[in-house]
Formats: sequence, C-alpha cells, structure tokens
Amino acid sequence: MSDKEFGGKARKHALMPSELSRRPDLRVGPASVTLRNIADTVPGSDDLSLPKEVAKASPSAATVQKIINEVLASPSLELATTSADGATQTMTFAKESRDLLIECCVEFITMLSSEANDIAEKDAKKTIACEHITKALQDLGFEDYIPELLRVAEQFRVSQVSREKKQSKIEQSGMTNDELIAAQEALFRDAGEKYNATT
Amino acid sequence: QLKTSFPVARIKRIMQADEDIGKVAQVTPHVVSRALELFMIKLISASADQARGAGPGGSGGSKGPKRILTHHMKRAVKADETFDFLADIVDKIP
Repeated sequence: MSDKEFGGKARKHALMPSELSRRPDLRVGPASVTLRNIADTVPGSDDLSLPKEVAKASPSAATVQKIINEVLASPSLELATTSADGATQTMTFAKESRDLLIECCVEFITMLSSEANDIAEKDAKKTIACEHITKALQDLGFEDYIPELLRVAEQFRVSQVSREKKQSKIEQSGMTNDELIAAQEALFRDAGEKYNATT
Repeated sequence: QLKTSFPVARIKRIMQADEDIGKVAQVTPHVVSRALELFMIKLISASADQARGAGPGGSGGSKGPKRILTHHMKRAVKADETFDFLADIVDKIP
C-alpha cells in the first residue's frame, strides 16, 4: 500500500488515536494501534423522521431507540409483563412517542445548559464546569442524580490522567515527528501484512 | 448502568447551539450524557406506568404488548413537577 492510495496528502504529524477513528482506510486489523472510544457516530443519516436542522442538533434516532429498548427490557423497572401462557411481553414505544422522547431529551440538554451557564456566569467563570451542572440539577429538582454524576466526573478525571501519561510518553520517546510517522507507518504495514496473511 | 450512551460530541453540539453558551469543560458533556440517561429512564418509566394503568381492569394484554402513546407521556409529564419544563412540548398533544 502506498501513500497515494491513502489520498496522497503528506501528514504534518503522527496520527493520534482520535484521528484514526476518522480514517477508516487506516484500520488494518486487530494488530494495529488501539482506538480510544469513538465518541461520535456517523452524523444524522439515520434520522429519517426529523428535518435536517433538528437532526444535526439532536441525538441519533438509533441511539435513542437502543436506549428505549434497554430501559423497557430492564427487569428492575418491572416493565415486562408475563401473560397467562408464560410469555414475556415488553411494552413498546409508538413512533410518535419516540420522536416526542427525542424532543424531550433535547429540551433537557438545552435547559440544563442554560441553567448551568447562568450559574457559571454568576461564578464569574467562562467555562461551564461539572459543579455548575450539578448545581443546576439541584435547582431543577434532579438532585438525586448528583451522586451518580460525581462518579462519572471522577471516572473521567482518571481516564484523563492515564491519557496524559500516554501523551508525555510520546514526547519522551525522543523521536522527531517524522521518525514517529515513519514508525507508525511501519507498524501499519506490519499489521496489514499479518492481517492479509491470515485472511 | 445502561450499556448504550449518547455520543458526547453530539451533546456538546446541542449545548453550543445556544449562542449564550460559551466554553464547556471537557468533562461536562460526559456528565450531561449520564444525566440525560437517568432522565430518560425516569420519563420512560413514568410513561410506561401511565400506559399500564390505562388498560381496562387487570386482564388486558390480549391485544399484545402495550404500546406507550404520546398521551401517556403527556400524563406522566403533568404528574411530576420536575417535568414542568416539558409542559410546552406536550401541550400540543391532545
């Protein structure tokens, strides 16, 4: 595989894992560089029912559907019923209900952001931080969410620390950018060869 | 809790669709994502409760699994104070 097949543009820096997720042509198989969570899904193409502007600024319908199914199937919520012949039936959401749910989600995010923004401003801060969100939730009556959210924030901090360790590892490797790029391409080639050899 | 979660970048985009919103700390969309999850669970459960209570007597179900309809959601919203911000959205439903 030559650079020309990748679209030819000379890279200015070695690719970071987050950028790899956007370059499907570089995924050469299991032996390659591990990818971190691919946070963004393919934008809006499955939002058939929503107008484009709304679709761009709302969660993907497929994700919402997945979550709906998970919640409805969850035994702890006792949403499944067992009929006389022993069959389990779960409730379903009508299509308009799903769309309504999506609207509610967007409204929730917007309202939460707006409240948190006001709180941040009063705090003379330009960036909305976690504590502004938790205070907003408190004001809006969702204080029971707070303990769980603090856990999420802590988990994130931990993952950031390990990420910084990886960043500095690259800086400390003592290799120049070009050397790093060359090393990475060598790894891709090797992985590609191993992958092709096994298929 | 749940296995699926909302894409963080999408949440950030929704947040910043509001012009008043400036910068957002990196951790914030993750926290909002989880809050949204919990909110959805609450709203879905409340709506399902409405749908369950709506059937005749206790012997319903012969028509198959109950479907949660928009008026169930509307009732759920009206029944809970914390859902007040959704009042406008559900008003258009009969």
